[in-house]
Amino acid sequence: MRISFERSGGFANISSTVDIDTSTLPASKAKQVQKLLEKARFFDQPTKAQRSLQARDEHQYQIKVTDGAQTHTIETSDTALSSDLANLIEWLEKEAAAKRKR
Amino acid sequence: MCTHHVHPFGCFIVPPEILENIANQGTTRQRELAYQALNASAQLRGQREALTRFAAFAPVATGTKRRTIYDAQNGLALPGKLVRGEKEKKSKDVTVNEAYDGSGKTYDFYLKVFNRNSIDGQGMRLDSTVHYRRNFNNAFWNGQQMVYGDGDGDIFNRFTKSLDVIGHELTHGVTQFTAGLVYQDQPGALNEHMSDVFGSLVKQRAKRHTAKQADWLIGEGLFTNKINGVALRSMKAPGTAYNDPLIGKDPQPEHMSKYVKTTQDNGGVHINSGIPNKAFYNLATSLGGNAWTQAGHIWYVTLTEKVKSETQFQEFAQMTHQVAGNLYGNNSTEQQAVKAAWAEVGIKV
Repeated sequence: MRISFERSGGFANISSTVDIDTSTLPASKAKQVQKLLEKARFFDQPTKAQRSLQARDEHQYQIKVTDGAQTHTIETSDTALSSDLANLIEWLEKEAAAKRKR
Repeated sequence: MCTHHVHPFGCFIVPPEILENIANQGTTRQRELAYQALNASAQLRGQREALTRFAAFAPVATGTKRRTIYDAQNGLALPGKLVRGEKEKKSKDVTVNEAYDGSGKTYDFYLKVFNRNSIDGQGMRLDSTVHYRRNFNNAFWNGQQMVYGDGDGDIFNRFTKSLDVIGHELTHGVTQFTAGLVYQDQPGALNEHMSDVFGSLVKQRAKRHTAKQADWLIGEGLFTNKINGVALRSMKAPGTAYNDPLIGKDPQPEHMSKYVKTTQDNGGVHINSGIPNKAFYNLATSLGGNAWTQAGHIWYVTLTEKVKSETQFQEFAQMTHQVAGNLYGNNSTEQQAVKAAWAEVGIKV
């Protein structure tokens, strides 16, 4: 599974990006993100979340997942997140941060 | 089909009349809960303005702050748990008090300097939620309230730490109720610019700084000391606020020739705001004294009387020039300073 994550905007406008190939992750981590994707019902999420016209300084998120033949991309933002999607995003942001440190 | 109490604003289980009575006459906490119940229904129908019908939310006497601080307890449900209401005592939680005090200073600024009664000019309540999500490196305005994260403690501290952040967020509300600048491309960058300008002025007034004494930094103190940076943005020197391997370099331009065309960040609204930010800094330091007196005044009149939802940089610059002429006379020092301030960033009025 390939996951591509990008966060932009926000008060600080400091972006966060990471590209992950789960086959290169330790098995436990690969399982973690798989679970998070399932809990967030990622493949059922709309490609463009309901946009809040009046929100200001919220983050924009873009997540693309390719799993075998299936590919799905979603665009969402802080005010549109479910807590399950937020958990997925937090995991991806941690990975992005870890990659930067290396 | 709604079988409960039908009302112009929708269906309620508790009749809205009872909620209104509580909202008008109860204790602060009871009123708060009644308001929340009415608000929850109104929000579902996008009818925030409907609540002004109720006496508790009718325009209040000018000078009355109505601050409410909520704690999201690291979740994402808004507004969260009520933790401090107007005139209630200080919390043990520093971020609660910062949100409370910062909202108050912003309110006082708009009232004392521009005779504006809160965000909407009609005494609108000032709601803030703190401890939003975990390690959340952001603060935002959601159209109705402010929301603050705690930061991850690695790159960022808590977002209530900087008074200009609070002023910035509340000013998004002011812009929403006045010019209505859309959050995209040049109008969006102007929207961001207004929030930086008035966020900075709130801080400058609180510190009693003249334009020359002010640091003109936005979000100073938000970075931890691991980060090589003085602030998130510099109005005085866009592009120089930070430069660190972990987060990159401050991308702001200081001249129109360096305008950034991008699809990220709604067309770079936090990036291209550097250009008008620099122009305002030029104007304020050129005129001297306190930046809110003349430069801030020109900008406030322009924002609230001239700017439209799709105003571009060029037109905005012309509006400020015209307003300066109206306020101080054509060819006045002030008007000429506006022209020079824009010329320096590559915009000719």
